[in-house]
Amino acid sequence: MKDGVIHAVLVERGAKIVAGTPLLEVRLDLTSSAPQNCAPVTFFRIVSRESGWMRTSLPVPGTVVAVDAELAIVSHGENDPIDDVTRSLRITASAVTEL
Amino acid sequence: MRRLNVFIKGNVDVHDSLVYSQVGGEIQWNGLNVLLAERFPDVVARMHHEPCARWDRMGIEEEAIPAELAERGLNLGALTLERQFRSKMFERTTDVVVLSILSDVGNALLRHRTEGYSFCATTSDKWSDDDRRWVKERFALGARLTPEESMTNLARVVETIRARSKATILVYNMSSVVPGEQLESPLGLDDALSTRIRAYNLELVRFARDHAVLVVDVDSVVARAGADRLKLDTIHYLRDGYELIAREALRVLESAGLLDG
Repeated sequence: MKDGVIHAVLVERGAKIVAGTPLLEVRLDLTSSAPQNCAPVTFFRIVSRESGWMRTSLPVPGTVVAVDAELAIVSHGENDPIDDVTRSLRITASAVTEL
Repeated sequence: MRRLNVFIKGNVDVHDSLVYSQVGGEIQWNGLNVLLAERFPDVVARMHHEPCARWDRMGIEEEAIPAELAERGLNLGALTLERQFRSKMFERTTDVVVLSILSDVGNALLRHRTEGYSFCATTSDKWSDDDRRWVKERFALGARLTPEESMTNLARVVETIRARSKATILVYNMSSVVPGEQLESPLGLDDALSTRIRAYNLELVRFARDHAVLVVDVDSVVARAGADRLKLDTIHYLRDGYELIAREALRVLESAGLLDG
């Protein structure tokens, strides 16, 4: 698997997030590696495990994003500088049924 | 040669383990008959497969297909209206019926806003804008069922089958392992598929006790052998996964005495 497609954006730029805030859903399609009648498509929801502020917008639905791509920037404080990203946001991720 | 007549009403899990699995045009696994040839060479399974929308849209009660839906000719992929409203389950002698929780775990139905009937559409991404508009005007998407609601529907299915057939009923549960999942907290993920599958599996245990159906414990056999090497994603398996599941189904058939000489 090399990439996924943004399926739904669940939080907007400028929003405060807390542990348990759903951020986005990604559509993963493994058809290219395993083409079959019942397409191997899974929808994953990404959820924050910590508090912060969404400082940039997530990619719009339909955007193809590579594995490990940076999707958005979250800061601890509402107005913290964001030009020096220090680590990945702590998240949970699980398959869900399609919205 | 003795024939075992098997009617499979379900989707990729039951089809690809028992009938065949094909990936990229190549057969990966050739189903239950491979195993029968090895262990019971005087028995051959004659299998009939129909996809399943959900247990409340099985088509085994022979309802008429709603005229306006038939006339619209929506692309429903493998889940044709015939398969949703007019199953062929009772058109031939059946020794075994195989079902799975998969369609109930995953599928929601579209319900007509005034007529009340429902159908399943998993291929709406292939519809024209005009078809989407037509459906949206007439139908509302219902909720996915709770495990308890699903088992109430399964009870009706079992009752219908037993009224018309002496078939032994097998029900597949599902492996709850989701490749790629990181779920140390359920916050924001109350509807995680892995949790939903576990809840269905547990409810199926209760159902099997009360209704004397046999469970093909996919969850257990996949866990014992290692989901990471057997699963492609939540519902698809690699070749060895389908073989392992078929072996478990064969074991269940054998334990039920269906392969006795």
